[in-house]
Amino acid sequence: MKFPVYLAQLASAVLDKQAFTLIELLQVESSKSKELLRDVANPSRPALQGFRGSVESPWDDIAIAHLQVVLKAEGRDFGAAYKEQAKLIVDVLKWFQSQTSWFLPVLYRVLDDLRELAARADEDVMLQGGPSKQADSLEDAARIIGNCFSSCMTDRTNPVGVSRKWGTYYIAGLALKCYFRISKTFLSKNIIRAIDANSDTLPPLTQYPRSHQVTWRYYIALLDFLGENYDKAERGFVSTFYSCPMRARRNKELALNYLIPIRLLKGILPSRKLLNRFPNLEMLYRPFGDAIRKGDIKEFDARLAWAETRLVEAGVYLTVERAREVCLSRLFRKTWRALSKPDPLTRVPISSFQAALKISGLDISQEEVECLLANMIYKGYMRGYLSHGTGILVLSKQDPFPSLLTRRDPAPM
Amino acid sequence: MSSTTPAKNAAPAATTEKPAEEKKEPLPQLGALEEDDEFEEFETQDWEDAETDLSFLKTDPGAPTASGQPASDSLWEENWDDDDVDEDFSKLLRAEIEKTAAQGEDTTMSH
Repeated sequence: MKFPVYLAQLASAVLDKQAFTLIELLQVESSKSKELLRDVANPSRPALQGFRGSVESPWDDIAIAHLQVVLKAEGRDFGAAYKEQAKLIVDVLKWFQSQTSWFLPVLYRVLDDLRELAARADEDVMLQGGPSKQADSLEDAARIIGNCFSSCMTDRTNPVGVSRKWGTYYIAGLALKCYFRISKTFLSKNIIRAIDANSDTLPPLTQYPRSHQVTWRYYIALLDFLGENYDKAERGFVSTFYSCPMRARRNKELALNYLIPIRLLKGILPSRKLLNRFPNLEMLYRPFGDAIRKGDIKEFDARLAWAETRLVEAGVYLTVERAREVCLSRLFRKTWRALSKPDPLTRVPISSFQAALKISGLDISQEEVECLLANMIYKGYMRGYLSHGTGILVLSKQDPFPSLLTRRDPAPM
Repeated sequence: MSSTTPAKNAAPAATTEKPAEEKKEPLPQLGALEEDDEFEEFETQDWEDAETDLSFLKTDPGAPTASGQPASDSLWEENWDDDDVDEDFSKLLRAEIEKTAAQGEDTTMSH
């Protein structure tokens, strides 16, 4: 495709508001972009200057920038390709301020490409090393994406049906993806704060396309998880997991990657039916579930060591490690039940728990057992008190092992 | 049993532990983690409830009801730790308690 033809197609697609055609014309990886690169003899910026003014501004500059992006990406110079795409988006954004929601799908795609190019540019810098260059493209992309986000969220001219506000959550999600990739999740706060401050003027989240809702909820849940706000994170991941379409397996798996550890802490275990659908997770978590069920602390510890690397990589090691308390509390409950025949026992010698730990493979002193029990009581896994002098644990007559679902961690001292 | 000394006692404990370890197969290797842990772009913007797992959500155990008894969801199990006493465990536990008690008597006598 010769450049004048490309310009004409671009201008006509803009005029007719043909979002789909525009996507084809502006995506880096598209047949049209390939044809363009093939047929333009001299695609350099200076050689194309003569075309400026031949179509309505800024589409002449956008066209020239796009060809540079494709050219640089083809030459695998992703740093330069990223810079050109960033220029393109500055022009697109200026023009977009006067547009309605019809252009949103096109904006999403050019921003996706921006992010992809930034990621590759950063990868290249990191591979090459050297002190001269910094891998800062993704952070820069997040800034540009943030500008587009603002333009959507603060649309005060268009009626709600065609408002740019409908782009708010999708683009916010893109910004968050950038922040997570560069491990600067704290920057997400700016986006979240902006949405909170404008929430009265935005349509309710539930009215947005499901893909936007689910992605947004996932990242908010992830932030809650990182802040150890487990209850809120649990709700977010539950919503993500159940609302994702079945075919989006990887996204469901990602939600479960966090949801399963969070729920282990509440004694809610993934069923066989659930795990059967996700073989990777089954291999990892079924042993933990089984160990907790049985109160098999030795098996739990063995599995924790076995899965350590994987759990660290998945960002959930500390959460699974905390589930050890759940496993331990089940062993103590099992001990109490075994001794509560025929009548419920309320005074249990500490040495009985020591014996239970010993047959579970944990041979520790009575003092250590006492310490474990004190901790269990403090954390609400058991109700009762320790009588150190007599070496007896006195359990509450009422519900000595409260449900894990309602247990609360004590407030930090 | 009551005549078992601590020293003698240590040996059978070790032997009861060993076979358990021997019969255990080596743990399977976990495959490599999928490198990209980024939430993926959806193929479509929107979809129907029927394409999701939302039908299960009605009975998700996440939020306990007013009675404190959550409804059951076949994807999760939360009421698994009731009631059945593990007989093997019971026997082992009682044996161990007796053994420790006997041991305690032994040590007090030797003092």
